[in-house]
Amino acid sequence: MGKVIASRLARLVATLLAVTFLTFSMTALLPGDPVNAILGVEAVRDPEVVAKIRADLGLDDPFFLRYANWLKDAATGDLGQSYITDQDVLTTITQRLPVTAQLAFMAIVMALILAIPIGVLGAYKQGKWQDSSTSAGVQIALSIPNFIVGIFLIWLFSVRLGWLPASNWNRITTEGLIQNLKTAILPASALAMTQMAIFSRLVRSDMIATLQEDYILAARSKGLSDRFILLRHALRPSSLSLMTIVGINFGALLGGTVIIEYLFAIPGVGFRLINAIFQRDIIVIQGITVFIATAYVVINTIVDLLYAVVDPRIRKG
Amino acid sequence: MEHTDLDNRLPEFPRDRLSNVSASVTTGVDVAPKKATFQEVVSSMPLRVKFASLWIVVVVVGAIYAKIDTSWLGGSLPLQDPNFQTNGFDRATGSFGTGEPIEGMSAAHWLGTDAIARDTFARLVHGGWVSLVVVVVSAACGVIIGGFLGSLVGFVRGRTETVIMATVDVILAFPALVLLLALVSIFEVRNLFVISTVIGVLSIPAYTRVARANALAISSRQFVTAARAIGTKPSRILFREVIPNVLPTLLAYAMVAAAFVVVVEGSLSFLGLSVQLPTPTWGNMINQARRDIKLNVAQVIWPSLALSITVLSLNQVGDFFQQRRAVKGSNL
Repeated sequence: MGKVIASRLARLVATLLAVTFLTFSMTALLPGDPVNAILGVEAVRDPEVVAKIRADLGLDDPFFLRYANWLKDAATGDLGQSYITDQDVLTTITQRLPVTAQLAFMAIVMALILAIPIGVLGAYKQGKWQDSSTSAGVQIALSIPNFIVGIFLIWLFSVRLGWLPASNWNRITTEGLIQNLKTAILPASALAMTQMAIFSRLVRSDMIATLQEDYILAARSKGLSDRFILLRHALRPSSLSLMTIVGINFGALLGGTVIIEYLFAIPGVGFRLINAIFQRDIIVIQGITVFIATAYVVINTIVDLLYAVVDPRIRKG
Repeated sequence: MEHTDLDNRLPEFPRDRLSNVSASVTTGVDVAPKKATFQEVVSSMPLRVKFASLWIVVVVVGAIYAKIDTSWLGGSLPLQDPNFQTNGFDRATGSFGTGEPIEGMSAAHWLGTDAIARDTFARLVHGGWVSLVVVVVSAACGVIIGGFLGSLVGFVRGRTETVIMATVDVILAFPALVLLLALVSIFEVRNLFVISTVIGVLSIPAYTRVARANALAISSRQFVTAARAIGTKPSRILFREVIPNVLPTLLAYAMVAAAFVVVVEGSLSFLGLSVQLPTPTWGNMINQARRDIKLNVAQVIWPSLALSITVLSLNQVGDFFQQRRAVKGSNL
């Protein structure tokens, strides 16, 4: 077990180094003087300001030294400061992170709650109408981009029925849970749709394979009820692959939150990223990209390790 | 599923008896798979896959038709200029057009008009062009560059493999859309060339991974060993044996990847970060029409349907070809 952890952690460090390096070198791809890009083309060029930025960013240093300095700062939580809004990048992220995290968490939970029964039903009634109709539904759910789902949820629940607000965000801390959920349920549902389709397809195919195992036959011959076999014997092995796919899909989910936050005008990390891109605020774009990529890599490593904890075969191997 | 189970339990069982495809395997010798003809492929498609293929053909033909100069047809199949405002001033007639913004369906405007009275049907057909170009460029980059790199490292192995696959892993360690957004933000001018190139370059790692996995499997097959044994040059084996056998799998993967690329370009357009306005794309049509969703939901529905049906069709066709490859592979 210790060996597994050590090797995974070594890989984590290597990947993080590479990922941060790649994000950092994107600024080197900028055409012309990075100061131009940072200040915006129309900005008044105060030579003092330009000199200050050059010194701040160490633009006269060689590239690798700049990366090393930037990485050292980033590791201590200093992702720099926007030259457009004067905000500290890490503060911006930490203020907005709870919103994005809540959305992602709600989406995963909603997706799992829907996906498991659908997948189990499909596997149990394999080839029957229940299976073919849910499979068709899953295929369709898989093919509708989440922003389209979001728009039609807004149209139905805000425009036509007037039940829920079409945009904005109420914080739990100031407005309370009920008001918070009113603003969170639509965007979370829009995010959950694709995830639900992916999860339920996995549960179905996994379960079909499990149901052919000998120990299921043994349980059947003992006279255990179908429901007991499905939930206690067959679902358990599927939970492992579910865990993996939740980890793998987390990246797509983070990308999805960017679009959904933009659609619903939710003050999360993703919406800030889009605004930064519109303003060409390079420092913020860089900071948020590194943050999201790091989060994704770390989460996948944790999932990998959990997998090893849960499945003894991997722990030993 | 059952086939492979039985195969594992009875390794000496004659595998060709179990196969329902690949007549070439009946000799019992491990040779390269035989190609199926176009008719065979089409007739083996389930009905929904046939419909899906038909839709893709319609979109592609429409997009190309919208782009080429069709005046030589004598205006028999007219498609309006997607950026022409039908209520605007027309220099030719010296009067204002009779169009209205946010019109319903009519004979003149099949799918109505948008917020500034442009013909929605024309914009929809033209919108397919951006998706088509992005898909073709990304598939070309992926299959040619990714396919070559993956086949090379899967066949040659060694240090080249370690370096290239490590790079691939790092790029795939990013959430795809976030990396794309960061890269796109670098460019001040976003035209079709920039967008399709960025998406194309980002497509390479996934194809490289698929190609390598397949090249690894193929490199250990008997026909490759035979080629080595008779002293064929490695470069010849790579180009004549490995790559031709990796290619069909890559093309099947390209269909599934195309569905993803259409969604990604649609998302980018929706965010206003793809091709600049007024060039119509399905994503920016959705984003513009959603502002008037209270007045006319139909203007949101048309581009949404076009985008979703295209993704669904690409998924269906992609799944079909991937399953074909998988069935063949498992029986070889």
